[in-house]
Amino acid sequence: MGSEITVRMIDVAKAFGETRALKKCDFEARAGEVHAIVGENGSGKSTMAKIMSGVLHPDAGKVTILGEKVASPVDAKRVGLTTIFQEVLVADEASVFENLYVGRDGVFRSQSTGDRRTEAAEILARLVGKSVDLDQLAGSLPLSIKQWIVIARAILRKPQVLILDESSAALDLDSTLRLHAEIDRLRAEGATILIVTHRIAELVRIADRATILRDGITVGTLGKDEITEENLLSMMTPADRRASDATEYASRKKALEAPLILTATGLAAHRSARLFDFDLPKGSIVGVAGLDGQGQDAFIRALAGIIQPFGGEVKVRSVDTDKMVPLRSLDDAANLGVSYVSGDRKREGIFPQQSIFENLAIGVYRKKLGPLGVIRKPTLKPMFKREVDRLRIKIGSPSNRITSLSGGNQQKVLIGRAFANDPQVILLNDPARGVDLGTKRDLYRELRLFAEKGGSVIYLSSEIEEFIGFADRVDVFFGGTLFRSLTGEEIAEAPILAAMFGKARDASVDFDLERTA
Amino acid sequence: MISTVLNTEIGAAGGSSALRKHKSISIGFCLLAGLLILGALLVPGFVSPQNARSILLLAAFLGLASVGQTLCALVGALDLSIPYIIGGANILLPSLMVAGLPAPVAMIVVLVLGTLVGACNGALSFRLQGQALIMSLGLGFAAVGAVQIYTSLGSQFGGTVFAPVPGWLRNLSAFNGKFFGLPFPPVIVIWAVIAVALGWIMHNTWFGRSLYAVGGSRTAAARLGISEFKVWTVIHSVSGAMSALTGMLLLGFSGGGFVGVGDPYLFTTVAAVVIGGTSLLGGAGGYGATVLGVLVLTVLTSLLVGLGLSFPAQQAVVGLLIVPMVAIYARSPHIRNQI
Repeated sequence: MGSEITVRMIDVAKAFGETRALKKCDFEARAGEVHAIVGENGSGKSTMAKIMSGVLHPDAGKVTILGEKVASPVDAKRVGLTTIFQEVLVADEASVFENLYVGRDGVFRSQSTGDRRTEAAEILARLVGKSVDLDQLAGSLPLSIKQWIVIARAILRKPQVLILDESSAALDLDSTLRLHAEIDRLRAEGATILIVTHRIAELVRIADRATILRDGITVGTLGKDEITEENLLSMMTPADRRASDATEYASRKKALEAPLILTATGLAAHRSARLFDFDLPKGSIVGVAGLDGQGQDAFIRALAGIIQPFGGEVKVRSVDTDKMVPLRSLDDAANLGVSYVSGDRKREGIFPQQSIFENLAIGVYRKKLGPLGVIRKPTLKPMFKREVDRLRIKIGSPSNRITSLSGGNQQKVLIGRAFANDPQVILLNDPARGVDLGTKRDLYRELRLFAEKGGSVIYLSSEIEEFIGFADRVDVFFGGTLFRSLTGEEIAEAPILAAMFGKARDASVDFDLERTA
Repeated sequence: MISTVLNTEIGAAGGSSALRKHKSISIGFCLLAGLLILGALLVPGFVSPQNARSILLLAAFLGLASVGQTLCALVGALDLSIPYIIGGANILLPSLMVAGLPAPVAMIVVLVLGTLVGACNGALSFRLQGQALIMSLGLGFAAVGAVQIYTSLGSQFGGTVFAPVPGWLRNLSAFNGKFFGLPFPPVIVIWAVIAVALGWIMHNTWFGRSLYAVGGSRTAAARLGISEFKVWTVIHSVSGAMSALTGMLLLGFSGGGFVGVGDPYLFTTVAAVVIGGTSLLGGAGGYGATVLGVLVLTVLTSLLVGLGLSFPAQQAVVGLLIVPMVAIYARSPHIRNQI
């Protein structure tokens, strides 16, 4: 090691309209190392990755990749740099095989299909952990496999520099381990691997060095031995913020004894699944967990009135009459004060051509209508300011497009949209996907406050550590049904994991998280 | 090691929306000003009250016909039935009057029929999405065919209908029409009022905002409880009504009904939307932009006529204008800039 420098950035700056995403960024990575780029939402991590990959051009500063300047994504690939972006970019209408080699053929030359198929099958089997039919349409596969397709596509290019931009966000534990093995393999071959991530636990295990970004400035680089959770956190978060977050939330078992605000009876995620009941006490936070595709996603959508469950009934206590009223549609949900936040902000959240203000306010327009559907706009400005302050959303001007914000801040705007309606129940479907720790803390704090004031929360997450010290109860889904409810001390990593894998309560689960060196 | 300074200044990914709006509007204004200057230099009598009046009059017809096209473009649809409804209204109104209906009643009947055709168009287009283009074209054909069958019943009329047009209708939209004694036809005022009202409605009502929402992201709009079906039906109804209105006003302009009167509007309504800067993919733009597009298109035509170009030559020039316009701002942003 200690070999040649492959990526170098000196004094790089980049602004989007009013938002200064990068102010002063200095960075160096070497061949044969895993280098992490860490920072909160809006600290400029993604922008940095996009500049390296030639997608964005810096306003100032120098960027060299393997000794060359990179002016476009095509250029970057020619030089030997490949990026796996946060978004899962897969062509649904094409086969898995076509997706793996998209953009690889020149007009006149192409590798033999036979070689490619063997290579592709091999790499997918290694990554997914089981063989994948290459002729299947990518659209028919679950999100987790699509994510692997994107990763495999990048690895098949045999890059000298590989950038992973939050790519492990949607992967479960097992998959993360397989990804790490793959990263080790690439490192041994002398490639530079840059990981843009917020998962601190992951970094401790895998990174050789870590560069920390705060507010668009690279505040320092840590060596292998210095990478610890405390060091990272203290460099990522300004000191004043840490102090305010230090107060631990007390156990709130009482919340579960409050009167019910939402009940669901006889639900099933699909035809063959066992029926189950669900209830939500007022003022409580209920976590929903499960491996990919165990029915929890359909469940939370049914509660939001987006889809119809297979049989069963959802009822919510009406604010006006204090009686339990059936919820069957989106309109019912709106009338009963049930708000839904999707983690898939790109597809079902943001309006990309509209302003930040519009994206937040559009959720309350309906409640602010005068005669003839005229929106009473003057009332909206204070509401907007309140939500922006409350969630600490980093924005330039409210009239800028929502796409000028970082992914995490876009998510905050969507959560603001849900809060702005003063809901009595808020449903969050994996809202923290691809969101960093600081933002998550802001979110937990706000949801806690919301619950203390009598609001109720259902929080679906793919990351179980999110529930610990946060949820009053965790409902784990397995096999299309509510498999187990955990409360009190059971809300810990091992019991939740056991339930997720459908294991009996007392079975011990042994997950070796340490990398065998 | 070669290191090169990257010091480019490009407004990539998601610049401010205000900036973009200014961009398309300032391009429109520059075009308009350029054309006016060219006209003043090259065509004698181009800058005169008479020419201004005729440009505004023609612009008013196109502007009214483009209302529906703009709304449709905002959700990513196109209404190709507009020229046929205009033509149909243009012959149905006089033949209803010949049949003995008083002019105001006949006008209401035509307006209602236009709205109904639009509503059918919207509902069917939505249900059979992907085929929306051919659907609107088919319904337009059917409507104009049905009207011609009606006008030819028991009369010698077919695609051309003659009837005495009441003086007030002529006054509304004839060259020498008067607006409360002022020397311009009232249709210009009607257009201006509709333009201002529509601009306000688009920004301040739930209807307007839900249109932009559906155009921007269908799924996200659905999550907010916005009915896409309703939006499609309403905007196509408005489009049908505005087309029928344009057809009737054109009767006052020409004095006789002719089924082909709407034909130029197939291209020009879409062109006005695109030149104005409203994306045909939905979600961005507005009627204010279309007003600019309408003016650019009308002034350009007037300039070309003034220069003595034949109709085919005019067509060629106007057609070619679309190329740079699409290149400048009607494209969807590159995928990497949407991330």
